[in-house]
Amino acid sequence: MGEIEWKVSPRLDSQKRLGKLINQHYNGARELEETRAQPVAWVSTMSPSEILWAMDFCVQYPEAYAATCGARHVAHAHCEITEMHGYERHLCTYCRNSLGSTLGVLEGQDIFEPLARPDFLLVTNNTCILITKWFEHLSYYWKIPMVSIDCPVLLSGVDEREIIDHVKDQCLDLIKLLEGFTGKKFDYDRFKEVAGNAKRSGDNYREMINTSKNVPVPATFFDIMGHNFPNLVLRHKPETAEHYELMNAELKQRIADRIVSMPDIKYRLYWDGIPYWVAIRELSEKLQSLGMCLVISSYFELFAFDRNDPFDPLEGVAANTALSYFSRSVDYKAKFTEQMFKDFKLDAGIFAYTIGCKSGSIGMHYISDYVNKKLGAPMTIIEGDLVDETFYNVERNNMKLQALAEMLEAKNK
Amino acid sequence: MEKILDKFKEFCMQPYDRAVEWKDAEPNRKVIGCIPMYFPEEILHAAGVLPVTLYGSDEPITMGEHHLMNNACHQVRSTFDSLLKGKYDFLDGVAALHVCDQVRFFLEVWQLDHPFPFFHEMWRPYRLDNTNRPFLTSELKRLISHLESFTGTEITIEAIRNSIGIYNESRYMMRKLNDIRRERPGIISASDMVCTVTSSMLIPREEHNQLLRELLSRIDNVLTPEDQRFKMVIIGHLCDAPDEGLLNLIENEGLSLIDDDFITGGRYYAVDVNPDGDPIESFADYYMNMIPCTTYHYVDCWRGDSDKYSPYADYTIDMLKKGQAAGIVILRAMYCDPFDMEFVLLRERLKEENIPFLALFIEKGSGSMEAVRTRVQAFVETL
Repeated sequence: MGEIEWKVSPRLDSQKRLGKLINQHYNGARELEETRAQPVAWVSTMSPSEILWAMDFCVQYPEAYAATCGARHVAHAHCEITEMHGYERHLCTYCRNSLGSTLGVLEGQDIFEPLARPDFLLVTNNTCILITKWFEHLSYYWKIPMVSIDCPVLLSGVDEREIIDHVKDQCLDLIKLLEGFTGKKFDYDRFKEVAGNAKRSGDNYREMINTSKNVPVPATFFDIMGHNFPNLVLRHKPETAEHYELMNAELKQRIADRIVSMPDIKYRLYWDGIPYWVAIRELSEKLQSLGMCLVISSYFELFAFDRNDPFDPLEGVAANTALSYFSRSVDYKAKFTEQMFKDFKLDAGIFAYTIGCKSGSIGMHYISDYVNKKLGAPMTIIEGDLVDETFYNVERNNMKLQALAEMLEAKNK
Repeated sequence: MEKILDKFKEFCMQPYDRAVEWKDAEPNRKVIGCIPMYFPEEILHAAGVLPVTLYGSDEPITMGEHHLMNNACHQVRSTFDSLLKGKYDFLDGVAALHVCDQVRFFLEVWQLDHPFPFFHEMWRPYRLDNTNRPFLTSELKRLISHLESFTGTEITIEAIRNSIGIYNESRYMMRKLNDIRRERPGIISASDMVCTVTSSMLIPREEHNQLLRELLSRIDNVLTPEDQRFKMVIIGHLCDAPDEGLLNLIENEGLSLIDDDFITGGRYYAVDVNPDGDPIESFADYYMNMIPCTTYHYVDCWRGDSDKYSPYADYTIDMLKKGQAAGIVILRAMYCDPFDMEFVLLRERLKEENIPFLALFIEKGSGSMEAVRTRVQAFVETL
């Protein structure tokens, strides 16, 4: 599977545009610290943010902030602050980063580019129930209101329609509460407009993911992982859909021009779990040295939001939340992963166990065994953490990756 | 009284022997294992099924580790270990309410790896208010319908009411026993109290009620010397039965445990289900009116206009005041996210109220009891 006839260009032009979008978002939010021209909401990933955007909120994501802090190697300092306040080390480090930076700001400590101070909190529990507790503590420290949306797992025997309606009823409660909070009537026309923008963004995001089916892949997992940010944080804006249009055009052009972003690709790999933001460089360098290219991950599914509907925005946002990948059973995820291996022509899988993420970790053994048994693809489970580098053991994980490469080599002999 | 308490202890030491015996006594009898906590056992009982609660074991976990990640709590890993060792082979099914993230994901793996003829997961909304109540009632109806198709028998309203009556009587007697413990410290040890409640979840409830009735009829005749120890409440929201040796150690070092919030204690028997009216609505009321649970989201606390931030802490403090206790012992299970988060707020409240407390991390099968003893002794000295 040597790629010697392909040109190597690691850098995507779209990276610059992504950087600009991210900076604009955070700088704009920080300006609000001064002007308070718009209310600021902190929101969990799977929440129906479209409702807040339609109410002209500036929406910030503590999870995205944690990922940034992890990548910049500043999260551990935030996590340490929480330990001083009695939080246990094994708790989710996204949560600890968020609470630590909050406590740091409130105590006047020097905190890395903190999010704009929130006026309101919105959380949905289909990722895990810990996240509701996390937001309760944010509410406690910031002394601001929060709303929690209860979103059941898609259990066997439960009607999907019933779960969508369950979420929808809570969205209506949220709208009513926000009308009281802002003193403004909810604007359904604006809601439709937001949902329309989000739908175009979501459709283009899906297309971006699908370009990775190409052999060889025009951009690796590491190249496109940051591009989930716009569809999460900015999908309500028309320029986000445009960003993905340009991104997709660039990826297609790379395919046409026979450009890849990594040399000597021997194997196409799957990544399961949230990335170890603290170890991106170590992982990408090690994998590249072994000829292993990370192609795709179910992680991208968490940011798909592809059920938005401008004609029925309430139904769309409720369905996004109710039917998200987070809400799916282990059985569903195992079968979905198997299908990804087929669609993206994958050779092996890396499962990223995260000590602080119980919900993401407990089913990993089953999923990796399932796909291994079905397809014979070798798998490895590495250990680490999303943002706290003190949990990451480079040597141990490198040995596991080396062993995976050896298994693939032996299999292909 | 001692004989009855010994019997309860025996049931806890051989937790499933009586269930196997019951099942084998007549053809077509079914036993369903319930994962702690809060599963509506009354509905299983009304279907003619014997519900038994699965508490894992104290044995070293030798097989469960290979199927679950090591950030799962002991209760989850130990229960899975027991399953793999064949200890649950007598079960016809497993049922659980999604009480936390770990139960939610571990259950799915369980059923996928080792399917049972009957398997039921139930969602109890974490935010319980009138908007979410219809989903809860729908889940209760789904349980009834699933059980009916599994057993082939209709579960009538009368049968559910009858079962509610039997379980309410059980809870009433346990509350009464706990009231006596609070009023006459030392009359029953904390470990005996735990065995009394735990055993109720392992054997036919009618039998347990009979034993409890006998125990209560004799307890007035028991003489207890004046208890010189410091009165304490013990909490921790554990999903399994706390270690008997640990409770005895705490009590032997000068603390008298007079109340608790264990699922094998106060949390289990605090609230009854209304025996009248529509049973589905009664169960919905039950879940909405339960004593504070660290997994719940209490809407009223978080709308920005309330001073309350830990209903769990408030409940605990009320328990302490009611028993005129000198402090609180907190047992903490490793890797219990909801409690670890709540602990930060609980600690705030206890400090606000100047309430002495001792927090101990516990993990069955590991850790030094001597280290615990030293901490308990040091705590007693501060009182």
